[in-house]
Amino acid sequence: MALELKSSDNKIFEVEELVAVQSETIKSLVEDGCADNVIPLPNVDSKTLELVLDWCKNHVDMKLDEEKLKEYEDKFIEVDQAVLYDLLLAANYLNIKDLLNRACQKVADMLKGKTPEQIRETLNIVNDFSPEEEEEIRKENLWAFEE
Amino acid sequence: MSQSKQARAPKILRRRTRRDDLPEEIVLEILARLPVKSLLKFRCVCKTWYSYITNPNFISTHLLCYNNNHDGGYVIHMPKATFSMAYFHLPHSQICTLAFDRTFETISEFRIPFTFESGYPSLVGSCNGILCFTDFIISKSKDVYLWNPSIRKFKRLPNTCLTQLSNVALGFGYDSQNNDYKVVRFSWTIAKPKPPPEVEVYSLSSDSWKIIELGISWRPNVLAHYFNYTLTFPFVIGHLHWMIEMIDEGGAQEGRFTSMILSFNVNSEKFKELPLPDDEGNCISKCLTSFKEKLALIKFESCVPPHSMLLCSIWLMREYGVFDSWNKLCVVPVESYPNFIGFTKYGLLLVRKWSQLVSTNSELESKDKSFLIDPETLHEKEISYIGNHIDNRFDIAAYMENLTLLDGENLVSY
Repeated sequence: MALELKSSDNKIFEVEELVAVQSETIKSLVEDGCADNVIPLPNVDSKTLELVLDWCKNHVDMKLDEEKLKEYEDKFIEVDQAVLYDLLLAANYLNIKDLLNRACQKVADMLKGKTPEQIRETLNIVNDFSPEEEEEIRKENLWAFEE
Repeated sequence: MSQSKQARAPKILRRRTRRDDLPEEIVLEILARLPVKSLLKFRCVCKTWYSYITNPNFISTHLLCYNNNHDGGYVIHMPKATFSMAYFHLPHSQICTLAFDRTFETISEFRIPFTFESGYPSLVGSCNGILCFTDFIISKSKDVYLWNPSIRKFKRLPNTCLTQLSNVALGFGYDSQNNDYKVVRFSWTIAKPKPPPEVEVYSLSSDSWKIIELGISWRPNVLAHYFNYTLTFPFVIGHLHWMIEMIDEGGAQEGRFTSMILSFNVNSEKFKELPLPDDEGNCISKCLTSFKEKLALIKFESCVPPHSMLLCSIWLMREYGVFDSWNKLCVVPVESYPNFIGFTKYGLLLVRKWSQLVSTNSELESKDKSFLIDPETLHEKEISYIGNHIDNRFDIAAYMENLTLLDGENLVSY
């Protein structure tokens, strides 16, 4: 059975139910009988949705071939930062556990070596510590900042 | 993380507001996948991140998430003090080695960051990468430390609340129900016959000791008791275990020990006795350990002379608490107690052997070698030598990235 999904920029994607229900969110809608018409996804644009659906389709196709799937996943997640964040938000919104796990791990790997200042820049976070407060935290575990 | 989703309005109907903000639940998922060194730094990103990272629920989520996402783990080797070392006032190296847990290849070395009155530390136990140490000399062991090597912090526990400390035994376990680490301490009087011990429990979350009842019937007429310290007292299936061998008045005349396995449920803080396997064999001593998260009993028997080896019978309690499930796994010969190191997390037995080789210039050299033995097949594999020739004995504990001891009273960073 096919489902119709509509992205935030009004593009319609026709997908097999088996592929679409990798998203727990869509799965709940199908089970509640709300999937007869087009399902609007206002928080996912067409570019991201296309990638997400590619992930879902390959997870159905390659389910039995662990090695091939791992190769696919490794290649899939090598995207630039902006795309990665869109995937992350889409995976969270659509509740696709394995994609969320993979994307979070990738972001974690990217953030691992950064300084707190670089983190703030990357994620657009305001520093609400005073310089004295920040210095106290640094002093407590100096080795983490220096080694 | 997924529990909060059910309580909120259906996702389909909610629109994301600011483009650059990652929702809290995603930030937490990302943080849970970071090594502790990064998390220590990222506490200063902003106050919200500081509170995320120091939250006890996050700490336990991170422990599971981070350590499960990595292939293969790490172990720490800690040099173990011996009675002859203490008697001859030999120095203790205090140097621990971090290694891969499959190959035992060394990664780095670091010192034990605290010292004891006698100069000799003794590992009480380890849980989730947190190590508990006390003084090797039992009569001086009023100091107990909890140490988290992954974040380089340790804490000296507050003083005892027992009336006196003598003939002390300790145990260290994790209360999974309350996300709390606990230390149990027994103290026996010198009086004969021995009354049951006094017991106290320390809880990290309350940072205090409290006296608890032993609550089980004690053997009458006990003259002396003995713990085998070859291996640390195991924490398995939420319970701490001690093997106590006792001589009572009747047994003293016949030179006979009676044995008891005392088990302590770390969650409920209740004691009970576990049955030993029904094996009448004559053994020198017994001790308990863990094998692939099950309780194991090691019986040490001597070989028929002229061999001077020890035969170790390894028994496994396949179903916890069930007497009938005791099963003899195998018998392994070792040269002496210190050469029986213990089981790895993969269920292989680590032993050391002396061997004498003829070196290239035809001299006889003796060397220590380390082997991993599979108890099911008794197949042996030599691995790179662990430790150094000064430290004869050592303990092994799993090394895990853990944020426990990040915040709290009396913490020392180094």
